[in-house]
Amino acid sequence: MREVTARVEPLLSCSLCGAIRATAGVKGAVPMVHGPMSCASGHRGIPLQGNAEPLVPPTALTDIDIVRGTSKYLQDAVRKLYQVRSPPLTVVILTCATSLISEDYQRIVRDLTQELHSPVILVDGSAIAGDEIDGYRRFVRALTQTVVPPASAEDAPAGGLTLRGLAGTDFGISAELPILTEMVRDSLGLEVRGSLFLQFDLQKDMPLLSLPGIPVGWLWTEAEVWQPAPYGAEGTRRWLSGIAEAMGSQPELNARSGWVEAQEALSSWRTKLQGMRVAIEALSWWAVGLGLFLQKELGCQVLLSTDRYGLEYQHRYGEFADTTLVDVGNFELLTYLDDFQPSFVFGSSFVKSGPWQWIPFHQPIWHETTESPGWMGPAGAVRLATILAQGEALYA
Amino acid sequence: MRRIAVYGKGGIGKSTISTHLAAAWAASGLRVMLVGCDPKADSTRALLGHRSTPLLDRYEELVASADSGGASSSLRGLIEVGFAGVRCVEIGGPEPGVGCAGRGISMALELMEQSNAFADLDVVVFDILGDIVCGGFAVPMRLGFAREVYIVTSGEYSALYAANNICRGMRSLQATLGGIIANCRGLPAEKQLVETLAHAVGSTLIGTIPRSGAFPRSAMVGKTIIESVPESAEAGQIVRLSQAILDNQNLIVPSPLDDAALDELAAACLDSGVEW
Repeated sequence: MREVTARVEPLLSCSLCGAIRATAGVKGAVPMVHGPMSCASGHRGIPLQGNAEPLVPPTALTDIDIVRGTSKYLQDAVRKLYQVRSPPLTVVILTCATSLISEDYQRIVRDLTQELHSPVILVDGSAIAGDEIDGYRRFVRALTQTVVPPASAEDAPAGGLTLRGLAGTDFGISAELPILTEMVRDSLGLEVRGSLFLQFDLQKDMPLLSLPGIPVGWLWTEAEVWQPAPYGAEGTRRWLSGIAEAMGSQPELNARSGWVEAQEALSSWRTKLQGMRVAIEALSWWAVGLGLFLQKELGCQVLLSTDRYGLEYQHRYGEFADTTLVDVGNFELLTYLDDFQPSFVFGSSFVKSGPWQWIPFHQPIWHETTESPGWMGPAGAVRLATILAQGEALYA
Repeated sequence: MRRIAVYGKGGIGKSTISTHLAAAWAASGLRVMLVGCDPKADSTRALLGHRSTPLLDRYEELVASADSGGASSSLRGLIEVGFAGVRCVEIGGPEPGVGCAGRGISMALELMEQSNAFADLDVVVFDILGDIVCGGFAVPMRLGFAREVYIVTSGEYSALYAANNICRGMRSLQATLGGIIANCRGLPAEKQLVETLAHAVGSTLIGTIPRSGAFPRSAMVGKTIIESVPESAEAGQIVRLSQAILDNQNLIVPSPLDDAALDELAAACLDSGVEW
């Protein structure tokens, strides 16, 4: 396998963006960017990807503010925000500048939480501290460790589980979440009671924290065995088996799931799709899941442009991609696609134009693009294979 | 114009040496400016007899003036004139534990340069806070505000270590060292030890200031000894040092020692037969 880890134009942005994505998953929460203006204004579009209000207020620090110290600006800005909006949760996100000067922000947010009787949490969102994935994780850690009190097991709804690690800003999530929920119900007899932190309600959803949580999406590598997204028939079986193992049960892939029909349909398409070149630009949970389906079940040649876990997965569990690009994005990615000459490219709008069919799969996607029909599960796999085999242009 | 920066370990006497050199040069008729690059803003007190308002406290006002073309006059209002006409500026900085002092130095010096604050001077002295703890404190060297550096050290190991470390920073920046000044603490063979280090890094011991109570006594009343006891032996030593620096043309990029070599140098001095 060819591995490329160049980062001229990285796929991922700074930790701050991951924290903003995660914040969009808590109802009414506001991400406050503690730093210069453009660290906030440049990312106001992120909440829109999850149909959340594009409210990313900054402390808008200047040179001289950084020199003199920023604590007072932060205190004033949070108080003002609370006065105007009264958010149920304020997430103070540090930028490179404020992270570097390292003031006692933890004490400030603790004091503000007491003063405002409303949780204020701190996430280091600086690019030098990590990328989007790190920012998402830090948010989850900060929220669960510092604000949300542990719910008692008696409060937890019986027979349920939660999916942890999806974000409202993930492309296609509104189509895929019902598919995931239905598959878990049909095959395992378990009810997905919520997806932390996807529309998490701090008032009502606290008991969900006592449920067993299955790491998916941004947090998928927190599971003992990494289970990529359930694309394809075999991929779906693998994912459900992983959940069953984590829950101490066996999956029952019954007829209702469309399992048998999917396997038959996919095997009929395999001959036609064998050797087709397909490129995928996405975060690793989605990219690895889709790549495994395309390569293992349909015989395609696959180029992955993904994060570091996409490569690590293959080092642990076996290589399947022809080429894996780690954190390569934008125009730099286009040059690799030109070399690979794919028939189809799954990805963001950055890879929309080229001598290939484009399937929207990863943010950012231009707003006028149709929402994903949902590619997960057996039925989604058949839909996808049909499109690939027929060479349909989904979105001109 | 000579652009001189004084570096050294915290508490080693940089401000004392800087103010006395400025006073000595001004008393000899040179036009001198002393720029205190320490958030404590206490470099110029011995020349003014009081603490002056730091530049960064009025930064927005100065920037607004610069935008409207009046920066020079605004800055002139901030520059106080001390003993013998020394122009005194304190850059200032954040309260302890917050903000970024190094960034403040960078911004203030750039503003001063843009405002022609260094015009009509024979010597400008930058009194820099402590060691080169981050990029901001290297600004006077890095951006060429200071063209020759003098390092103050005693014979104590930690001071020698800091001096050698400053040489490391200078080598990275290709900044030029004019010499090392021994500000003695009264240790045995102290001058010899500092001189050995100076030669080891490729420079010279440009002057020695013996331990004396005259300096702290004078500082208590907000004066330099050039002003308070100009006929004293200590004042004479300062004048000789100031002249040696003016006459100095031996500017080199230092070659710092590695840690093991510095330890060997210190050990060799201990073995030289001098009673400690």
